[in-house]
Amino acid sequence: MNFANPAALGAALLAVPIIVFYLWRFRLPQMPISAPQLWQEALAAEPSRIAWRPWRGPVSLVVQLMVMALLVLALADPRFDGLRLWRWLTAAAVVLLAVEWPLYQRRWLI
Amino acid sequence: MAKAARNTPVASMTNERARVGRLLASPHDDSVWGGETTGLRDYVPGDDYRYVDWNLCARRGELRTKTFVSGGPRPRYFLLDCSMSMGVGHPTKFDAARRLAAVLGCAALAAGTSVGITAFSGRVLAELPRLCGRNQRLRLLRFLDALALDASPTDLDRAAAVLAGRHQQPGPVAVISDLLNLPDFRKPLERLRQHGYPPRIVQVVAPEEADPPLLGDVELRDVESPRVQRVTLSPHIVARYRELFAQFLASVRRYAARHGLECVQVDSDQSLEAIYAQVLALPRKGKVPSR
Repeated sequence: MNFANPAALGAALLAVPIIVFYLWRFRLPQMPISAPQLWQEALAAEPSRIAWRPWRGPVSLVVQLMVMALLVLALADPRFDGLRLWRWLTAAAVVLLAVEWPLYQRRWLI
Repeated sequence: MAKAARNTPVASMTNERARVGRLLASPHDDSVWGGETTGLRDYVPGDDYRYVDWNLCARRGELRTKTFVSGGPRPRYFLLDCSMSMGVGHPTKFDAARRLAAVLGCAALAAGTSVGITAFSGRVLAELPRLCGRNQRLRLLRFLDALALDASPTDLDRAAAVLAGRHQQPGPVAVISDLLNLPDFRKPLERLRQHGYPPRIVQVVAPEEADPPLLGDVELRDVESPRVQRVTLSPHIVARYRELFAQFLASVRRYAARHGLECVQVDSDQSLEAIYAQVLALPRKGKVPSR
């Protein structure tokens, strides 16, 4: 695999500010508590928020990095064996269609 | 702190001997301890069971406590909480507790009673042996000044057991604590009562505890353990916490009222004068002021 516009891969450096902003944003304010048992009792009123809370940050970061990676790939315009990616995808789709279409047709006939 | 205490109105307030009796003494306390029996009086909750006239109780079904020739005023003790939970607040509950102990201790010394202080967290951290006499005030203040917070989890029951297990003249104990992080605050107080140390509850609360200032995503850091919990605080959760905290304070007041104990709940950011005025405003046994 090679790229029609390899310089665009430099845009992957955008991941750095994304990660920095993530770390900055998720450094939450700390609240010292002296009555943990009362807090646990109060938090038990809304358990769904507690269950989702630990995953919210990491999932958000992964989604952001994936979107950025797709954009960078699109800019870099990758080629597989001399074909542009979209051509390769189109060819693959045509092949799949060619294989699958008769099957669908047969099912409908049945 | 010693210098600050000398410069505040505390010095003049402590001279008012009559005032110290409101928190650290009750009329019957000083007459109980001594040698020769002088008579009987009605039983009051908190009286040592050893001095109840059980023969009279069996004959007439009346609870009466024996009184003795006074062997001088009973000593006053302080159990001062130095656990990490006392480090919360601006100023901290610990500072407020030390100021309160300084005020009451100096007042007791000025009134001619001896004073002993036990600082505790998960264990007994330091003890001030019983001091007597007005000239001991500086020593008391220096002791309080040298105290620091300790990381071990609060164990009031252990401190109460140490105090109650000593071979010494018993007397009223002011328990200065937030009473938080305890499995059950009643057990150590019961223990003190049963051993002839009628407890007086001085509960110090930080305004931030009663009314948390944050909403949204926060990290709750337990001050007495390394545990940190990331949570999203909704108004509903905070309201529920406020309600639970108020219920806890009310349970302490109810317990004190039920057992006829003096109880005062002070905010850590109250001025020394306001705290002292609140302590003075204590009603007689069985009635507890609401916060």
